[in-house]
Amino acid sequence: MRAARSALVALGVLAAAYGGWLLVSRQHGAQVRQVVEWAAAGVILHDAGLAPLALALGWLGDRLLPRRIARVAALAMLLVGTLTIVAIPVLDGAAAGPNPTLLDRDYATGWLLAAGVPVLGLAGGATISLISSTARRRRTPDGSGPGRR
Amino acid sequence: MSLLSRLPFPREGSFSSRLRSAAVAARVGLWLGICFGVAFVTGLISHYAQLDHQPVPFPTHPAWGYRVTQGLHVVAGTAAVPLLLVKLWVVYPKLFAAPPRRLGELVRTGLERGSIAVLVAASILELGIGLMNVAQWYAWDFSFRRTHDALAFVVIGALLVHIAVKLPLIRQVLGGDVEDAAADRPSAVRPGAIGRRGLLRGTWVAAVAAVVAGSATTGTIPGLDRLAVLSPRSRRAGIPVNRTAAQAGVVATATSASYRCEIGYGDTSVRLTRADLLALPQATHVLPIACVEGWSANGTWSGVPLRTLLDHVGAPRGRDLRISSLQQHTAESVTVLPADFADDERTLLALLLDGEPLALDHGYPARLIAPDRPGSLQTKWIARIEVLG
Repeated sequence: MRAARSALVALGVLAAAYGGWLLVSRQHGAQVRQVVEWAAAGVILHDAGLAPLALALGWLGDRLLPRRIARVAALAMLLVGTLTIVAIPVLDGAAAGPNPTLLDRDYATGWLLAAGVPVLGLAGGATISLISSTARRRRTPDGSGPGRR
Repeated sequence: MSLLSRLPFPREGSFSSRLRSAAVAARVGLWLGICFGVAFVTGLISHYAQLDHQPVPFPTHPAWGYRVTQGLHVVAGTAAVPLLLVKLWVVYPKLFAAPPRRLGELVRTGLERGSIAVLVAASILELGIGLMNVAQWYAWDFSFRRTHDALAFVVIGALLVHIAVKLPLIRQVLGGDVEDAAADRPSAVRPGAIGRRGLLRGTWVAAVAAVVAGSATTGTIPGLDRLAVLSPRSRRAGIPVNRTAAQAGVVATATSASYRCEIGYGDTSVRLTRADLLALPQATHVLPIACVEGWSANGTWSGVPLRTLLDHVGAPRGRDLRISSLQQHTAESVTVLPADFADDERTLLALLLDGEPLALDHGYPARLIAPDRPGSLQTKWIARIEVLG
Protein backbone atom coordinates (compact mmCIF):
# COMPACT_ATOMS: atom_id res chain seq x y z
CA MET A 1 0.00 0.00 0.00
CA ARG A 2 2.76 2.39 1.03
CA ALA A 3 4.81 1.55 -2.08
CA ALA A 4 1.76 1.96 -4.32
CA ARG A 5 1.03 5.34 -2.78
CA SER A 6 4.62 6.50 -3.23
CA ALA A 7 4.56 5.34 -6.85
CA LEU A 8 1.30 7.21 -7.40
CA VAL A 9 2.79 10.40 -5.92
CA ALA A 10 5.89 10.05 -8.12
CA LEU A 11 3.75 9.46 -11.22
CA GLY A 12 1.55 12.43 -10.36
CA VAL A 13 4.49 14.77 -9.79
CA LEU A 14 6.00 13.66 -13.12
CA ALA A 15 2.74 14.19 -15.02
CA ALA A 16 2.15 17.61 -13.45
CA ALA A 17 5.74 18.65 -14.11
CA TYR A 18 5.39 17.55 -17.74
CA GLY A 19 2.19 19.63 -17.96
CA GLY A 20 3.99 22.61 -16.46
CA TRP A 21 6.81 22.22 -18.95
CA LEU A 22 4.29 21.97 -21.83
CA LEU A 23 2.64 25.13 -20.55
CA VAL A 24 5.77 27.28 -20.34
CA SER A 25 7.66 25.92 -23.36
CA ARG A 26 5.03 26.17 -26.12
CA GLN A 27 3.86 29.77 -25.74
CA HIS A 28 5.22 33.28 -25.29
CA GLY A 29 5.94 34.61 -21.81
CA ALA A 30 2.98 36.99 -21.96
CA GLN A 31 0.64 34.12 -22.84
CA VAL A 32 1.94 31.95 -20.00
CA ARG A 33 1.53 34.90 -17.62
CA GLN A 34 -2.07 35.27 -18.75
CA VAL A 35 -2.75 31.57 -18.11
CA VAL A 36 -1.41 31.98 -14.56
CA GLU A 37 -3.53 35.13 -14.06
CA TRP A 38 -6.63 33.32 -15.30
CA ALA A 39 -5.92 30.36 -13.01
CA ALA A 40 -5.58 32.69 -10.01
CA ALA A 41 -8.73 34.57 -11.04
CA GLY A 42 -10.65 31.29 -11.23
CA VAL A 43 -9.66 30.32 -7.70
CA ILE A 44 -10.44 33.79 -6.31
CA LEU A 45 -13.78 33.84 -8.14
CA HIS A 46 -14.67 30.52 -6.50
CA ASP A 47 -13.12 30.81 -3.06
CA ALA A 48 -13.97 34.46 -2.42
CA GLY A 49 -17.10 34.81 -4.59
CA LEU A 50 -19.12 31.73 -5.36
CA ALA A 51 -18.30 29.76 -2.19
CA PRO A 52 -19.17 32.58 0.29
CA LEU A 53 -22.34 33.24 -1.73
CA ALA A 54 -23.37 29.57 -1.45
CA LEU A 55 -22.44 29.68 2.22
CA ALA A 56 -24.56 32.77 2.87
CA LEU A 57 -27.56 31.38 0.97
CA GLY A 58 -27.28 28.07 2.82
CA TRP A 59 -27.00 29.84 6.18
CA LEU A 60 -30.02 32.05 5.46
CA GLY A 61 -32.06 29.17 4.05
CA ASP A 62 -31.39 27.01 7.10
CA ARG A 63 -32.44 29.71 9.52
CA LEU A 64 -35.24 31.54 7.73
CA LEU A 65 -37.06 28.82 5.82
CA PRO A 66 -39.17 25.97 7.23
CA ARG A 67 -37.30 22.67 6.86
CA ARG A 68 -39.48 21.38 4.02
CA ILE A 69 -39.05 24.55 1.94
CA ALA A 70 -35.33 24.76 2.76
CA ARG A 71 -34.85 21.26 1.37
CA VAL A 72 -36.48 22.22 -1.92
CA ALA A 73 -34.56 25.51 -2.02
CA ALA A 74 -31.23 23.75 -1.52
CA LEU A 75 -31.84 21.32 -4.39
CA ALA A 76 -33.16 24.11 -6.60
CA MET A 77 -30.07 26.18 -5.87
CA LEU A 78 -27.83 23.27 -6.85
CA LEU A 79 -29.63 22.79 -10.17
CA VAL A 80 -30.10 26.45 -11.05
CA GLY A 81 -26.53 27.28 -10.05
CA THR A 82 -25.13 24.50 -12.23
CA LEU A 83 -27.25 25.39 -15.24
CA THR A 84 -26.44 29.08 -14.86
CA ILE A 85 -22.69 28.48 -14.81
CA VAL A 86 -22.92 26.15 -17.81
CA ALA A 87 -25.02 28.82 -19.59
CA ILE A 88 -22.63 31.74 -19.04
CA PRO A 89 -20.68 31.19 -22.31
CA VAL A 90 -23.84 30.96 -24.44
CA LEU A 91 -25.67 33.78 -22.63
CA ASP A 92 -22.63 35.98 -23.16
CA GLY A 93 -23.07 35.45 -26.89
CA ALA A 94 -19.66 36.96 -27.69
CA ALA A 95 -19.28 34.67 -30.69
CA ALA A 96 -22.81 35.00 -32.09
CA GLY A 97 -23.12 36.78 -35.39
CA PRO A 98 -21.18 35.77 -38.47
CA ASN A 99 -21.75 32.02 -38.05
CA PRO A 100 -25.45 31.10 -38.35
CA THR A 101 -24.81 27.57 -36.98
CA LEU A 102 -23.17 28.77 -33.74
CA LEU A 103 -25.18 29.98 -30.71
CA ASP A 104 -28.30 29.48 -32.80
CA ARG A 105 -30.85 29.11 -30.01
CA ASP A 106 -32.81 31.54 -27.84
CA TYR A 107 -30.67 31.13 -24.74
CA ALA A 108 -32.53 33.55 -22.45
CA THR A 109 -35.70 31.50 -22.91
CA GLY A 110 -33.64 28.30 -22.73
CA TRP A 111 -32.20 29.32 -19.38
CA LEU A 112 -35.63 30.24 -18.01
CA LEU A 113 -36.92 26.83 -19.11
CA ALA A 114 -33.92 24.83 -17.88
CA ALA A 115 -33.85 26.59 -14.52
CA GLY A 116 -37.62 27.08 -14.20
CA VAL A 117 -38.84 23.55 -14.91
CA PRO A 118 -36.90 21.90 -12.05
CA VAL A 119 -37.76 24.74 -9.67
CA LEU A 120 -41.45 24.46 -10.49
CA GLY A 121 -41.23 20.67 -10.28
CA LEU A 122 -39.59 20.79 -6.86
CA ALA A 123 -42.02 23.44 -5.64
CA GLY A 124 -44.95 21.36 -6.90
CA GLY A 125 -43.61 18.25 -5.21
CA ALA A 126 -43.12 20.14 -1.93
CA THR A 127 -46.65 21.55 -2.09
CA ILE A 128 -48.17 18.12 -2.70
CA SER A 129 -46.22 16.57 0.18
CA LEU A 130 -47.18 19.50 2.42
CA ILE A 131 -50.88 19.11 1.60
CA SER A 132 -50.84 15.33 2.03
CA SER A 133 -48.99 15.48 5.34
CA THR A 134 -51.38 18.16 6.62
CA ALA A 135 -54.27 15.92 5.60
CA ARG A 136 -52.62 12.97 7.38
CA ARG A 137 -52.16 15.00 10.52
CA ARG A 138 -55.81 16.03 10.46
CA ARG A 139 -56.85 12.37 10.32
CA THR A 140 -54.90 11.43 13.44
CA PRO A 141 -56.88 12.53 16.53
CA ASP A 142 -54.06 14.08 18.57
CA GLY A 143 -52.39 15.70 15.53
CA SER A 144 -49.07 13.96 16.16
CA GLY A 145 -48.85 11.57 13.24
CA PRO A 146 -45.68 9.77 12.33
CA GLY A 147 -44.99 12.40 9.62
CA ARG A 148 -41.33 12.89 8.95
CA ARG A 149 -39.89 16.34 9.47
CA MET B 1 -2.98 34.34 16.26
CA SER B 2 -4.81 36.43 18.83
CA LEU B 3 -5.62 39.04 16.19
CA LEU B 4 -6.80 36.34 13.80
CA SER B 5 -9.14 34.88 16.38
CA ARG B 6 -10.71 38.27 17.12
CA LEU B 7 -11.54 38.91 13.44
CA PRO B 8 -14.82 37.50 12.11
CA PHE B 9 -12.73 35.17 9.95
CA PRO B 10 -14.03 31.59 9.75
CA ARG B 11 -12.00 28.68 11.07
CA GLU B 12 -12.32 25.04 10.11
CA GLY B 13 -14.42 24.50 13.22
CA SER B 14 -16.89 27.23 12.25
CA PHE B 15 -18.45 24.96 9.64
CA SER B 16 -21.08 22.84 11.30
CA SER B 17 -23.06 21.14 8.50
CA ARG B 18 -22.70 17.37 8.57
CA LEU B 19 -22.96 17.36 4.77
CA ARG B 20 -19.37 18.58 4.68
CA SER B 21 -17.98 15.12 5.33
CA ALA B 22 -15.22 12.99 3.86
CA ALA B 23 -17.89 10.34 3.18
CA VAL B 24 -19.62 12.78 0.81
CA ALA B 25 -16.41 14.24 -0.62
CA ALA B 26 -15.06 10.81 -1.57
CA ARG B 27 -18.28 9.81 -3.34
CA VAL B 28 -18.47 13.02 -5.39
CA GLY B 29 -14.70 12.86 -5.88
CA LEU B 30 -14.93 9.34 -7.27
CA TRP B 31 -17.25 10.47 -10.07
CA LEU B 32 -15.28 13.66 -10.61
CA GLY B 33 -12.16 11.53 -10.97
CA ILE B 34 -13.93 9.28 -13.47
CA CYS B 35 -15.03 12.34 -15.50
CA PHE B 36 -11.50 13.79 -15.43
CA GLY B 37 -10.07 10.40 -16.44
CA VAL B 38 -12.47 10.07 -19.39
CA ALA B 39 -11.80 13.66 -20.48
CA PHE B 40 -8.04 13.12 -20.18
CA VAL B 41 -7.92 9.92 -22.24
CA THR B 42 -10.31 11.19 -24.92
CA GLY B 43 -8.42 14.49 -24.97
CA LEU B 44 -5.15 12.66 -25.60
CA ILE B 45 -6.84 10.72 -28.42
CA SER B 46 -8.05 13.98 -29.97
CA HIS B 47 -4.64 15.59 -29.58
CA TYR B 48 -2.96 12.61 -31.21
CA ALA B 49 -5.47 12.58 -34.08
CA GLN B 50 -4.47 16.17 -34.87
CA LEU B 51 -0.72 15.52 -35.02
CA ASP B 52 0.83 15.97 -38.47
CA HIS B 53 3.18 13.04 -37.98
CA GLN B 54 1.85 10.05 -36.09
CA PRO B 55 4.28 7.25 -35.21
CA VAL B 56 1.33 4.83 -35.15
CA PRO B 57 -1.27 5.90 -37.74
CA PHE B 58 -4.62 7.03 -36.28
CA PRO B 59 -7.17 4.40 -37.41
CA THR B 60 -9.78 5.12 -40.10
CA HIS B 61 -12.13 2.52 -38.54
CA PRO B 62 -14.70 2.83 -37.17
CA ALA B 63 -15.84 5.97 -39.00
CA TRP B 64 -17.72 7.05 -35.85
CA GLY B 65 -14.74 6.55 -33.51
CA TYR B 66 -13.76 10.19 -33.17
CA ARG B 67 -17.34 11.40 -32.85
CA VAL B 68 -17.79 9.08 -29.85
CA THR B 69 -14.48 9.88 -28.13
CA GLN B 70 -14.80 13.63 -28.62
CA GLY B 71 -18.50 13.59 -27.72
CA LEU B 72 -17.54 11.79 -24.49
CA HIS B 73 -14.79 14.35 -23.88
CA VAL B 74 -17.23 17.25 -23.86
CA VAL B 75 -19.89 15.27 -21.95
CA ALA B 76 -17.40 14.32 -19.22
CA GLY B 77 -16.11 17.90 -18.99
CA THR B 78 -19.63 19.34 -18.73
CA ALA B 79 -20.70 16.77 -16.11
CA ALA B 80 -17.58 17.64 -14.11
CA VAL B 81 -18.78 21.24 -13.55
CA PRO B 82 -21.40 20.50 -10.85
CA LEU B 83 -19.26 17.64 -9.48
CA LEU B 84 -16.34 20.01 -8.97
CA LEU B 85 -18.55 22.70 -7.43
CA VAL B 86 -20.13 20.29 -4.95
CA LYS B 87 -16.74 18.71 -4.14
CA LEU B 88 -15.29 22.15 -3.38
CA TRP B 89 -18.36 23.07 -1.31
CA VAL B 90 -17.96 19.93 0.79
CA VAL B 91 -14.25 20.46 1.51
CA TYR B 92 -14.40 24.27 1.78
CA PRO B 93 -13.71 24.26 5.59
CA LYS B 94 -10.28 22.76 4.87
CA LEU B 95 -9.31 26.10 3.35
CA PHE B 96 -9.45 27.55 6.87
CA ALA B 97 -7.64 24.72 8.67
CA ALA B 98 -4.97 26.03 11.05
CA PRO B 99 -1.42 25.18 9.98
CA PRO B 100 0.38 22.63 12.21
CA ARG B 101 2.99 23.97 14.66
CA ARG B 102 5.71 21.35 14.21
CA LEU B 103 8.13 22.07 11.35
CA GLY B 104 8.08 18.59 9.82
CA GLU B 105 4.27 18.52 9.83
CA LEU B 106 4.19 22.05 8.49
CA VAL B 107 6.33 21.15 5.49
CA ARG B 108 4.25 18.07 4.72
CA THR B 109 0.95 19.91 5.09
CA GLY B 110 2.33 22.80 3.03
CA LEU B 111 3.28 20.44 0.20
CA GLU B 112 -0.09 18.72 0.30
CA ARG B 113 -2.04 21.96 0.36
CA GLY B 114 0.17 23.30 -2.43
CA SER B 115 -0.71 20.29 -4.58
CA ILE B 116 -4.40 20.86 -3.84
CA ALA B 117 -4.08 24.54 -4.78
CA VAL B 118 -2.58 23.49 -8.12
CA LEU B 119 -5.31 20.87 -8.59
CA VAL B 120 -8.13 23.31 -7.85
CA ALA B 121 -6.71 26.18 -9.90
CA ALA B 122 -5.94 23.99 -12.92
CA SER B 123 -9.31 22.19 -12.72
CA ILE B 124 -11.36 25.39 -12.59
CA LEU B 125 -9.40 26.90 -15.48
CA GLU B 126 -9.47 23.70 -17.54
CA LEU B 127 -13.26 23.35 -17.26
CA GLY B 128 -13.80 27.09 -17.67
CA ILE B 129 -11.85 27.51 -20.90
CA GLY B 130 -13.27 24.22 -22.19
CA LEU B 131 -16.84 25.52 -21.76
CA MET B 132 -15.91 28.87 -23.31
CA ASN B 133 -14.13 27.27 -26.24
CA VAL B 134 -17.20 25.25 -27.19
CA ALA B 135 -19.10 28.54 -27.51
CA GLN B 136 -16.08 30.00 -29.39
CA TRP B 137 -15.77 32.73 -26.73
CA TYR B 138 -12.08 33.53 -26.99
CA ALA B 139 -11.53 36.15 -24.31
CA TRP B 140 -7.80 35.37 -24.03
CA ASP B 141 -4.55 35.68 -25.98
CA PHE B 142 -3.09 32.27 -25.13
CA SER B 143 -3.49 29.24 -27.39
CA PHE B 144 -6.53 27.27 -26.29
CA ARG B 145 -5.29 23.95 -27.63
CA ARG B 146 -1.81 24.18 -26.08
CA THR B 147 -3.10 25.48 -22.76
CA HIS B 148 -5.92 22.90 -22.53
CA ASP B 149 -3.43 20.13 -23.34
CA ALA B 150 -0.80 21.30 -20.83
CA LEU B 151 -3.35 21.89 -18.04
CA ALA B 152 -4.74 18.39 -18.57
CA PHE B 153 -1.41 16.90 -17.46
CA VAL B 154 -1.23 19.31 -14.52
CA VAL B 155 -4.77 18.35 -13.42
CA ILE B 156 -4.24 14.60 -13.79
CA GLY B 157 -0.82 14.76 -12.11
CA ALA B 158 -2.09 16.79 -9.14
CA LEU B 159 -5.14 14.48 -8.95
CA LEU B 160 -2.91 11.38 -8.71
CA VAL B 161 -0.95 13.02 -5.87
CA HIS B 162 -4.22 13.95 -4.12
CA ILE B 163 -5.58 10.39 -4.45
CA ALA B 164 -2.31 8.91 -3.18
CA VAL B 165 -2.28 11.19 -0.13
CA LYS B 166 -5.95 10.51 0.69
CA LEU B 167 -6.03 6.82 -0.25
CA PRO B 168 -6.41 5.38 3.30
CA LEU B 169 -9.22 7.87 4.05
CA ILE B 170 -10.89 7.22 0.67
CA ARG B 171 -10.84 3.47 1.29
CA GLN B 172 -12.19 3.92 4.79
CA VAL B 173 -15.13 6.15 3.87
CA LEU B 174 -16.04 4.42 0.61
CA GLY B 175 -16.03 1.11 2.46
CA GLY B 176 -18.52 2.42 5.00
CA ASP B 177 -21.99 3.95 4.83
CA VAL B 178 -22.38 7.51 3.57
CA GLU B 179 -24.02 8.45 6.90
CA ASP B 180 -21.03 7.13 8.86
CA ALA B 181 -19.55 9.96 10.94
CA ALA B 182 -16.27 8.22 11.90
CA ALA B 183 -14.13 10.35 9.58
CA ASP B 184 -16.00 13.63 10.11
CA ARG B 185 -14.58 16.80 11.59
CA PRO B 186 -15.72 17.18 15.22
CA SER B 187 -17.79 20.26 14.39
CA ALA B 188 -19.66 18.67 11.44
CA VAL B 189 -22.72 17.60 13.41
CA ARG B 190 -25.58 19.90 12.40
CA PRO B 191 -28.13 18.21 10.14
CA GLY B 192 -28.95 20.44 7.16
CA ALA B 193 -32.11 20.82 5.12
CA ILE B 194 -31.12 17.86 2.97
CA GLY B 195 -29.38 14.68 4.01
CA ARG B 196 -26.16 13.29 2.55
CA ARG B 197 -28.03 10.97 0.22
CA GLY B 198 -30.20 13.87 -0.90
CA LEU B 199 -27.14 15.98 -1.67
CA LEU B 200 -25.55 13.14 -3.66
CA ARG B 201 -28.76 12.50 -5.64
CA GLY B 202 -29.10 16.22 -6.33
CA THR B 203 -25.50 16.31 -7.54
CA TRP B 204 -26.00 13.41 -9.96
CA VAL B 205 -29.17 15.06 -11.27
CA ALA B 206 -27.31 18.37 -11.73
CA ALA B 207 -24.54 16.59 -13.65
CA VAL B 208 -27.02 14.91 -16.00
CA ALA B 209 -28.97 18.16 -16.39
CA ALA B 210 -25.81 20.07 -17.28
CA VAL B 211 -24.91 17.50 -19.93
CA VAL B 212 -28.39 17.22 -21.47
CA ALA B 213 -29.26 20.93 -21.38
CA GLY B 214 -25.86 22.44 -21.91
CA SER B 215 -23.42 20.33 -23.87
CA ALA B 216 -22.60 20.81 -27.55
CA THR B 217 -22.72 17.02 -27.89
CA THR B 218 -26.40 16.68 -26.98
CA GLY B 219 -27.22 19.74 -29.10
CA THR B 220 -26.71 17.72 -32.29
CA ILE B 221 -28.10 14.34 -31.17
CA PRO B 222 -31.54 13.90 -32.78
CA GLY B 223 -34.19 13.77 -30.03
CA LEU B 224 -31.95 15.08 -27.25
CA ASP B 225 -31.32 18.28 -29.24
CA ARG B 226 -34.80 19.52 -28.23
CA LEU B 227 -33.83 19.32 -24.56
CA ALA B 228 -30.41 20.87 -25.13
CA VAL B 229 -31.73 24.40 -24.67
CA LEU B 230 -28.34 25.76 -23.56
CA SER B 231 -26.20 23.95 -26.15
CA PRO B 232 -24.15 26.28 -28.36
CA ARG B 233 -25.11 24.09 -31.30
CA SER B 234 -28.25 22.82 -32.99
CA ARG B 235 -29.07 21.35 -36.39
CA ARG B 236 -31.62 24.01 -37.30
CA ALA B 237 -29.42 25.38 -40.09
CA GLY B 238 -28.34 21.87 -41.17
CA ILE B 239 -24.91 20.44 -40.42
CA PRO B 240 -23.06 23.00 -38.27
CA VAL B 241 -19.85 24.67 -39.40
CA ASN B 242 -16.99 25.96 -37.31
CA ARG B 243 -15.83 28.74 -39.60
CA THR B 244 -17.90 30.24 -42.38
CA ALA B 245 -16.51 31.11 -45.84
CA ALA B 246 -16.79 34.80 -44.95
CA GLN B 247 -14.90 34.29 -41.65
CA ALA B 248 -12.20 32.35 -43.51
CA GLY B 249 -11.97 35.10 -46.15
CA VAL B 250 -12.44 32.72 -49.08
CA VAL B 251 -15.72 33.90 -50.65
CA ALA B 252 -14.02 35.55 -53.64
CA THR B 253 -11.47 32.82 -54.35
CA ALA B 254 -13.93 29.96 -53.78
CA THR B 255 -16.49 31.38 -56.23
CA SER B 256 -13.95 32.59 -58.81
CA ALA B 257 -14.19 31.17 -62.36
CA SER B 258 -10.42 30.67 -62.25
CA TYR B 259 -10.69 28.14 -59.36
CA ARG B 260 -8.65 24.99 -59.95
CA CYS B 261 -7.91 22.09 -57.64
CA GLU B 262 -4.27 21.15 -58.10
CA ILE B 263 -2.99 17.63 -57.50
CA GLY B 264 0.76 17.24 -57.49
CA TYR B 265 3.04 14.20 -57.33
CA GLY B 266 6.72 14.83 -57.99
CA ASP B 267 6.92 16.55 -61.37
CA THR B 268 3.38 15.54 -62.34
CA SER B 269 0.69 18.09 -61.63
CA VAL B 270 -2.89 18.40 -62.80
CA ARG B 271 -5.24 21.34 -62.33
CA LEU B 272 -8.93 20.51 -62.35
CA THR B 273 -12.02 22.73 -62.41
CA ARG B 274 -15.08 21.72 -60.38
CA ALA B 275 -16.66 20.55 -63.68
CA ASP B 276 -13.59 18.37 -64.34
CA LEU B 277 -13.94 16.87 -60.87
CA LEU B 278 -17.66 16.21 -61.42
CA ALA B 279 -16.81 14.40 -64.68
CA LEU B 280 -14.57 11.87 -62.85
CA PRO B 281 -16.03 8.64 -61.35
CA GLN B 282 -18.07 9.58 -58.25
CA ALA B 283 -18.81 7.78 -55.00
CA THR B 284 -21.23 8.47 -52.14
CA HIS B 285 -20.64 7.69 -48.46
CA VAL B 286 -22.50 8.51 -45.27
CA LEU B 287 -19.84 9.89 -42.94
CA PRO B 288 -20.01 11.94 -39.75
CA ILE B 289 -18.42 15.31 -39.39
CA ALA B 290 -17.28 15.33 -35.78
CA CYS B 291 -15.92 18.51 -34.27
CA VAL B 292 -13.33 18.86 -31.55
CA GLU B 293 -16.02 20.93 -29.77
CA GLY B 294 -18.06 17.76 -29.23
CA TRP B 295 -20.89 18.14 -31.75
CA SER B 296 -21.23 15.78 -34.69
CA ALA B 297 -23.61 15.14 -37.56
CA ASN B 298 -23.94 12.57 -40.31
CA GLY B 299 -23.89 13.76 -43.91
CA THR B 300 -24.31 11.98 -47.23
CA TRP B 301 -21.23 13.10 -49.09
CA SER B 302 -20.65 12.57 -52.84
CA GLY B 303 -17.51 13.28 -54.79
CA VAL B 304 -14.36 11.79 -56.23
CA PRO B 305 -12.64 9.11 -54.13
CA LEU B 306 -9.30 10.62 -53.19
CA ARG B 307 -7.56 7.42 -54.28
CA THR B 308 -8.98 7.89 -57.81
CA LEU B 309 -7.35 11.34 -57.97
CA LEU B 310 -4.05 9.97 -56.69
CA ASP B 311 -4.13 7.22 -59.34
CA HIS B 312 -4.79 10.01 -61.86
CA VAL B 313 -1.30 11.42 -61.16
CA GLY B 314 0.30 7.99 -60.73
CA ALA B 315 0.93 8.31 -56.98
CA PRO B 316 1.70 5.03 -55.18
CA ARG B 317 -0.21 3.93 -52.05
CA GLY B 318 1.18 4.53 -48.60
CA ARG B 319 2.07 8.20 -49.04
CA ASP B 320 1.05 11.07 -46.75
CA LEU B 321 -0.57 14.06 -48.44
CA ARG B 322 -0.21 17.77 -47.81
CA ILE B 323 -3.61 19.42 -48.17
CA SER B 324 -3.79 23.17 -48.71
CA SER B 325 -6.94 25.25 -48.38
CA LEU B 326 -7.87 28.54 -50.01
CA GLN B 327 -8.01 29.96 -46.48
CA GLN B 328 -4.79 31.50 -45.27
CA HIS B 329 -3.08 31.99 -41.93
CA THR B 330 -5.08 29.54 -39.84
CA ALA B 331 -4.11 26.22 -38.29
CA GLU B 332 -6.24 24.50 -40.95
CA SER B 333 -4.72 26.22 -44.03
CA VAL B 334 -2.14 23.50 -44.59
CA THR B 335 -2.45 20.07 -42.97
CA VAL B 336 -1.04 16.59 -43.48
CA LEU B 337 -3.41 13.73 -44.31
CA PRO B 338 -1.80 10.46 -43.16
CA ALA B 339 -1.44 7.70 -45.78
CA ASP B 340 -4.05 5.38 -44.27
CA PHE B 341 -6.68 8.12 -44.64
CA ALA B 342 -5.48 9.00 -48.16
CA ASP B 343 -5.80 5.35 -49.25
CA ASP B 344 -9.12 4.59 -47.52
CA GLU B 345 -11.78 4.03 -50.18
CA ARG B 346 -14.30 6.13 -48.21
CA THR B 347 -12.13 9.25 -48.24
CA LEU B 348 -13.61 11.70 -50.73
CA LEU B 349 -12.88 14.99 -52.35
CA ALA B 350 -16.52 15.87 -51.67
CA LEU B 351 -18.50 17.99 -54.14
CA LEU B 352 -22.07 17.36 -52.91
CA LEU B 353 -23.66 17.17 -49.47
CA ASP B 354 -27.03 15.39 -49.13
CA GLY B 355 -27.45 15.49 -52.93
CA GLU B 356 -26.96 19.26 -53.23
CA PRO B 357 -23.84 21.09 -54.38
CA LEU B 358 -21.70 21.92 -51.34
CA ALA B 359 -22.66 25.21 -49.72
CA LEU B 360 -19.88 27.79 -49.54
CA ASP B 361 -19.74 27.39 -45.76
CA HIS B 362 -19.33 23.61 -46.16
CA GLY B 363 -16.30 24.02 -48.42
CA TYR B 364 -17.50 24.71 -51.99
CA PRO B 365 -16.04 24.06 -54.56
CA ALA B 366 -14.44 20.94 -53.01
CA ARG B 367 -13.63 19.67 -49.53
CA LEU B 368 -12.06 16.68 -47.88
CA ILE B 369 -14.21 14.19 -45.99
CA ALA B 370 -12.53 11.17 -44.41
CA PRO B 371 -13.77 8.60 -41.87
CA ASP B 372 -12.82 8.94 -38.16
CA ARG B 373 -11.05 12.28 -38.53
CA PRO B 374 -11.38 15.46 -36.41
CA GLY B 375 -13.66 17.98 -38.13
CA SER B 376 -11.07 20.77 -38.16
CA LEU B 377 -8.87 18.55 -40.35
CA GLN B 378 -11.63 17.82 -42.88
CA THR B 379 -10.17 20.62 -45.01
CA LYS B 380 -12.67 22.90 -46.75
CA TRP B 381 -12.11 24.96 -49.95
CA ILE B 382 -9.27 22.70 -51.12
CA ALA B 383 -6.69 24.43 -53.31
CA ARG B 384 -3.91 21.87 -53.57
CA ILE B 385 -3.20 18.23 -52.75
CA GLU B 386 0.47 17.28 -52.77
CA VAL B 387 1.80 13.74 -52.45
CA LEU B 388 4.67 13.71 -49.95
CA GLY B 389 7.84 11.66 -50.46
